Amino acid sequence: MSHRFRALQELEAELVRVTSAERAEPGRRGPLRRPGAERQTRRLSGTTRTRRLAAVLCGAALLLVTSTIALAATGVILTGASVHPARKLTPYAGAGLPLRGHSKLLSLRVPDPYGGLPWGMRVVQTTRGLVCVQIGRVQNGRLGELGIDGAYNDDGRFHPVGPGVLPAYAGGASEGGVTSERGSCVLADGDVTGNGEAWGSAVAAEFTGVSENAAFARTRGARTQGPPASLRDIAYGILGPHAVSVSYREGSATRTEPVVAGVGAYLIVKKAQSGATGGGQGEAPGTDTPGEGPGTSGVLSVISYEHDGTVCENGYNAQTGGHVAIRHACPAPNPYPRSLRVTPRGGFYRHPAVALRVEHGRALAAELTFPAPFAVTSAAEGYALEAAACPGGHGGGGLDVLDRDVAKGATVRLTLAYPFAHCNRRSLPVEVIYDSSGPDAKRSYGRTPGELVIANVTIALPHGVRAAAPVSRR
Amino acid sequence: MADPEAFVPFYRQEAESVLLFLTRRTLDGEVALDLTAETFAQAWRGWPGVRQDSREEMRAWLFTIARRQLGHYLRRGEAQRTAVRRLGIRTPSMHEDDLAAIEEAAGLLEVRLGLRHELEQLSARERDAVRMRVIEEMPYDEVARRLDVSEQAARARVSRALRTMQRSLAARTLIDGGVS
Repeated sequence: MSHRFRALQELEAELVRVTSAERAEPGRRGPLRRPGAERQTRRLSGTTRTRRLAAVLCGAALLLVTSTIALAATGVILTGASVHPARKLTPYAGAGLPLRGHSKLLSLRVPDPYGGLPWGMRVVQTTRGLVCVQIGRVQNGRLGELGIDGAYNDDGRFHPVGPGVLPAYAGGASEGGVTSERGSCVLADGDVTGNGEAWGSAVAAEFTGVSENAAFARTRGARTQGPPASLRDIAYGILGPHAVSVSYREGSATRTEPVVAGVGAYLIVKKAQSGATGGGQGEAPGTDTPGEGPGTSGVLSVISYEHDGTVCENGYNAQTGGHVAIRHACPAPNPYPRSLRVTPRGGFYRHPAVALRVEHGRALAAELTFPAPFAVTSAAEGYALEAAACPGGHGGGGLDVLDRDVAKGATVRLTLAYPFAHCNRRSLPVEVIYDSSGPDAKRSYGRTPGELVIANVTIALPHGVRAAAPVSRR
Repeated sequence: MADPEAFVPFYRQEAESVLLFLTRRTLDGEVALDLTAETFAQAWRGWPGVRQDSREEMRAWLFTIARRQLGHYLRRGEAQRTAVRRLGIRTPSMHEDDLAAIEEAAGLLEVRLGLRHELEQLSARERDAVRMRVIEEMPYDEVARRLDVSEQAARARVSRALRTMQRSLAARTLIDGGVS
């Protein structure tokens, strides 16, 4: 009988190896006790038992010490509990669930500048059409985080992170992507984890002053930063199948590393340069399109792409603000890849019902409901509510985004919290937007491609009802 | 006394049941694989003393070991690896394709929904206590401080809530059902 799970097949192979060896040579494993030996132990006198116990305790203590030394010397770290997603995942909301067969721990291994487990990267495609990148430390082919620097009660263990531990994704095509220390997700147009043949999006992110636990501790009261001497700057990304290599600054030198073929993955971990301990983060310059990037900031100085059978380069010197010396500059991309055609108001336009949530005479929220004119089937589509900012742009611009799939005609509910909390206004204009992406994405006049206004509503504060503002907890 | 040659066929027959049994109870396929490896390592250590009379008795014996590993894990938060280390077994890594398949086979979605339902059935005070202790992993003194009760009362509240959940889940065959 063969197992349908590969891990059980491998465990069987281990058991076959161990049991065969022991059957061939029964006495080879000293600590293994056979039933006969157990009975003999029971017949020992009390004094002998005491001596034996003392010897066993001494031996155990010695074993513990030598094992600890051996483990420390070999760099093996005990495995602790796996990391679980911070919130329940569903296939139809948020980032979705990892798509079976489409998550891959890349072969990329990057040494840590302070030693210990190497860093690695996993690429995951989800049921909602996102491609997510996870980074962490790698032990025995598993990606994980370390229980140090206040994480996991400082248990010193390696905590595996499965592909289901995805960064939170706010949703909506206008979101474009999300970045956190644990990883990044962006909309994907193709299969990046199968054969890496199709590609449509790039992920690029940078963090400065990250503590060495690589993990992004959830333990109460945890220190999220290690001592300044152990902080790192981390940059990672996937630049698509055209990318060949990346160059980055390290001190006064420039280093060039090849990217992982097919997905164009790179991962740079180095000692923190600036001494900043804020754990800063931002989007790194990077794109899957030859001719774009790197941008005006970040670690990368040059990205090389294969373009029409030759290698071309794009570069930018963030320190001087000028382009670096490029031998074969990539051609500039088409700046207007998507249609600029405006979609006139049509049958998709809606007149949402508005309900104010009032408690103790104060308006806490406004809820808009309407039948969906278009279905939402992935993170590439969505509905968003945008409230107008106060005059002069001083606050008040609220937003809510639908981050789940919805059928055409189904009721969409969007909520604006504390709608009248700013600038003493008693009426609030809001727009409802249908976001989408791709070459056929619709747009309204004055909006960027992909943003279609499907409703305009003015929410009024009734007489006798006052505005409410969020309560500050501190 | 069991035939040593029969151990691997026994593993082939029971490994998946044990893995799914443990996955349902830990809600974590990777942890379940570690516990499965330790279960069979311990089973091999005890194999010479096992009577090979009936398959049912052997399964009961095996699941007793599995439950013991589970209990250790739930108390300590980590899988025991004594026998695995002693025998020199290299526990395989969980393949990512496997993980999704195992979680689906174990019906984890239903189990998680069941847990959520039971959590919602608790009183607000009990739910808060469970959330702080089990989900946010706060120490009891912190739970007590936040609930404004004594530490003893906090412990009692968490314990009572977990017992309530356990009874309900057992009745729904989520905890003690589905061994096979």
